[in-house]
Amino acid sequence: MSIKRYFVPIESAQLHVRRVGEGPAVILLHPSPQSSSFSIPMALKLAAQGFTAIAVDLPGYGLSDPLVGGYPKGLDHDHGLDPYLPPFVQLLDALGLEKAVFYGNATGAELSHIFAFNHPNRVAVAMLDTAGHNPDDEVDKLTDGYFPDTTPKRDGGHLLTYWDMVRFLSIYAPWQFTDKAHRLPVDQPPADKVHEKLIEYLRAGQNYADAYRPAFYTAKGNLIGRLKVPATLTRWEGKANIAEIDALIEYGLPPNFTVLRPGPSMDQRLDASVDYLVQNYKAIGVPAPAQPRQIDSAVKRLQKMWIDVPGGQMLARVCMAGTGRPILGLHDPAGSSKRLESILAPFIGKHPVIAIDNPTSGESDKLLKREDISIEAYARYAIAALDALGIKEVDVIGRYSGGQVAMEMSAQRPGLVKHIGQLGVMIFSDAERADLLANYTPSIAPQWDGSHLVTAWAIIRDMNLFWPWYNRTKAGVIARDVSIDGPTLHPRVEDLLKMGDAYQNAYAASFNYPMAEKLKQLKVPCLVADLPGSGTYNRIAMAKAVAPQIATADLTEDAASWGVVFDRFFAS
Amino acid sequence: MATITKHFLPLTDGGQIHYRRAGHGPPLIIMHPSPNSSANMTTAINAFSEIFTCIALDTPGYGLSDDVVADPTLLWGYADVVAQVLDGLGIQQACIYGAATGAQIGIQFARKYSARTALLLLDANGHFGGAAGEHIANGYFQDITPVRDGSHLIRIWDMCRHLSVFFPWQSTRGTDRLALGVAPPDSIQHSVNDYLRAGPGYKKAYYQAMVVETWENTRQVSVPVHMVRNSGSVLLPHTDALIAKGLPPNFTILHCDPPQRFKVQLDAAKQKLAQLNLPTPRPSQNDHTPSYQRIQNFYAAARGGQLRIRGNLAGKGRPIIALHDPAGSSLLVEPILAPYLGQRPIIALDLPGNGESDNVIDPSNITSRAYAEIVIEALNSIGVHEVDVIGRYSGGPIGMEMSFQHPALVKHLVLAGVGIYEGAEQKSLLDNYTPSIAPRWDGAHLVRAWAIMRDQGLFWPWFNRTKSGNLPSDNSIDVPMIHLRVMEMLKIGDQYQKAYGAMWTYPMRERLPKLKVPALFAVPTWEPIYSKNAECAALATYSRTADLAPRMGDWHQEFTPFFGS
Repeated sequence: MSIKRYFVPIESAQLHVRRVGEGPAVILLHPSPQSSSFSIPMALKLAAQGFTAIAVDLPGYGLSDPLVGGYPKGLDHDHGLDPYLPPFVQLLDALGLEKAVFYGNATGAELSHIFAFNHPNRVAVAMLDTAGHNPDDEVDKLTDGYFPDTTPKRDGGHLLTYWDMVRFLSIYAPWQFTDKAHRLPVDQPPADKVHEKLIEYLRAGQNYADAYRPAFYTAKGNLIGRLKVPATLTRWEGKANIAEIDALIEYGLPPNFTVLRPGPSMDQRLDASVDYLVQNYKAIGVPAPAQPRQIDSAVKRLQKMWIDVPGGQMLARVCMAGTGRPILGLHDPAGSSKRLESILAPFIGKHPVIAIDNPTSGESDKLLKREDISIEAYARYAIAALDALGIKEVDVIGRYSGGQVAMEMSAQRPGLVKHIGQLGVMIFSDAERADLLANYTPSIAPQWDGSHLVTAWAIIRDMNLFWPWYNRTKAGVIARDVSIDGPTLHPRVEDLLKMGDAYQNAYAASFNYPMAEKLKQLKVPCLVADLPGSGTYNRIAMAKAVAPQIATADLTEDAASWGVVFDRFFAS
Repeated sequence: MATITKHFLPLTDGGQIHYRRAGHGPPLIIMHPSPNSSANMTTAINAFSEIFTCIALDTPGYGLSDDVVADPTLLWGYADVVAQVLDGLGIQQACIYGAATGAQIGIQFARKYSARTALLLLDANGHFGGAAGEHIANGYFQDITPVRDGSHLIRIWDMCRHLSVFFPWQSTRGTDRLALGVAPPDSIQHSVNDYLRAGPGYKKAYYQAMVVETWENTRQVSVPVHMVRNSGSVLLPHTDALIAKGLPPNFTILHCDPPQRFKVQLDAAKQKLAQLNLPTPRPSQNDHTPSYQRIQNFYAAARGGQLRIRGNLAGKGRPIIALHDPAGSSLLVEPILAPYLGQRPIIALDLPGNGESDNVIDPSNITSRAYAEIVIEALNSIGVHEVDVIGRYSGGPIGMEMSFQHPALVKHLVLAGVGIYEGAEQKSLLDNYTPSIAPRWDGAHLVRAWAIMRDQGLFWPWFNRTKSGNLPSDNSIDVPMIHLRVMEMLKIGDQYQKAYGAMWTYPMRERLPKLKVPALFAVPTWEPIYSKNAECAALATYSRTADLAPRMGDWHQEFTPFFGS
């Protein structure tokens, strides 16, 4: 049984779920600031016992959209999680579930009992794994300094704030304390594990505390004790601060609660809840209906969807409203489909639009091992994605390597690609290629001290300042207005950090692609465009010199106008 | 190249101004841009010392000068300090040279003390009026208060690096882009160190200089002025804006391209000096006679260079010298000596290459013995012939070697944190304790330096990030202390690898039995190497041990009876 990912449309937003199994539905809710990936082990156990496990990314975490309108200000502690109630009602409606089991850890447990109290008719069982009792004044102390500001700064220092938090989660509890009594007696996780956790923080972004903070304050006996639905509380022997759970038990729970007391192993912990459901709910639960459509086809904005391709799933941003030939967007070597949103904006509502994350890039599954990354392989997966959507013809806009992938698609499947627009063209002399291969992609592999974050930030920043970015001499200066503020750089660095050192292979694939030869052979109408003054601008002339049949265009600083240039070309 | 010597000048209120001196002839006061120090003015000093006695000041609050200016408004307080410096040096009238902030202080000095200003030389100055001024100042001054994640260091790096990318550094406009390559990492790090010396108050004079950098202010100077218009200056548009507004006839504009920057000034100054009668100032003294009851800076001489001392030689009896750890400086052992101030002469010395001392040690022979030779020479230069030594970590073996080389010099020796490191432990420490912190293009070395020093409070050895390495301490992340230690570590740079290596490889087991001097093996109980203390003490003949209090300021309670024994 394998887990599949889906998006579920709710009002003005999408929630992201991992789903596996068939049978009565169990909604799994994760701790902050993580995502449904936390719940995978439990989901697999449930599926094996005849349940439909649906692990949900809380709004604003993982790949779920944030709360519509943002997290509201001014809520009192007891109602801090209430803004998350409507999205879950909408989720159950969208999934066709009248009722479901809610199983949650930490923030997920808090949301489970708040939801079950407010919507008792939608919750079959509320299962609290990792819950406890902490009075407000205690929580005030625990959370003082717990949620530092991570607003992106131009110097990238906010990444170190994230790293500090994530790293110290395994040194102190709470992480920001520095005294003996709060030190954790554990080995430190290796850097790549810390980095994985950091990526979850980056997905949540600077609003990572939205559900995290209020969840501290709803862990109270008087709130948990309000539940009328059948409920469980897991008292797991392996828990580091089991005293919080005991405090809740001591506080007193109503008779509808069953306290599960598993032994110290992780399997024992999870099995306790699964066994409870097998014995108490499986026979009476209604099997969950099939997964609904991921997107609302009528909506005129990009929505996220998972596309099934051989071996796994690829993330796409799509808008199926509009007529005419679909537009396919393909990103640059270390980018993602998110980076294409502004370029694709003019096509929304006019043409169907699809932008995909390459395999092993962005959020797509790691379908390609690093060493197997090539322009040809990217093209195969892009074609597979279009096949899955039933799309027979496209015009393609590719950023840098994305243009090369489009060319390769046209060679692999003649007739599929009708026009190619290349935003930046990756053509190099032999000497340039050797230099780029040697210098363009230093390792950004996770380091124990987080220094790789600084390197990644500096690379992306310097891409705006020099060409190539490592040529920090006068000759390398890109002398034009640049955007190197925190909010602009941060999403690009986030993409780079998600990809990790696989970006070395993605760039190498692009540098090594025999562009001159392939351009000469290109049968499809092709427009190459770039910004005068940009580092890569003179590549247009190089491309034109080897392939006089291609069209060229100069872009302006206004990124919103770029799509219009391509639109005109595709219409010609 | 001129011979440049460094000096501290005591002011009447007890503060000290640090300066560099070179050359002979009429006095020229040289003032640097913000937030650097006179260390950045060696090109100017070398050029001007052909005809001048150059006195290059560290602006108060920058470099090694104390922050003696209470009110920085419009730089008047800085001008007053320049006047005090002239008084202190016995100079009635001088020529004044200033670049950037230094130029603005020079302007205010010439306005307020016109009779004492024979000639004002302005370099890298202009007019920052109106919108242009606002554009420059908006976002220029970032908060660099130390924070636990170390990101303040990356902020400083960002500022220093982009000084050679845009002017103002924080701009992103194509029109503000400098046609320059980025400065090499070593040079950026040099600048970062200046920010660290100045600290979060680095903008004190810097900002005021921007406020007064206007035509309205500049034109009020009445003394003769030579003002450079350097075609390669990043400030050229602002210099031109100042000239375009019209300057009075006492201003002579010297046009030049970057290579002639100092030559044009020198040529013009030569002509001017011929009309003046400015005597050569009296020689500077390296005075370590204490003027005030506070820990002061002074220099000792060794191997043709100067070693910085924090101390005070007032008080009776034998001087006490404290020797710091491999990556530290006098600042880190000063709290041990502070209780003796006024009672015993006290000396905290920056070892060569550390802190603010010249790097006079042979880099191919960094050993406890080599350090000891230099310390003995330095003590001799200040007339100290008997000492009690407190050695912190690696300072212990250096004290031992001092006693072997010069038995009459060392009367008592405190070894505060020594151990025997052998076999697998020694190899692991040599391999892992001191990763490179050499300046990198992206500033990532700063993050590494911070993480090393922070983890030293969390694990022993710091790179053992397992359960077994956990250090059970309270206040494990002492941000001001980590910051101080990182600052000192960045000053020594990768030479810290050799300094630590000298400690790990010191033949302690073989040397301890030869120790003739009374030795106190003393260490706080929380230290991870506490258990090594007794092992060492057992090997020495005249030894005793002590458990030290957590705070360095309380250690004298154990040391005083020992020194009296």
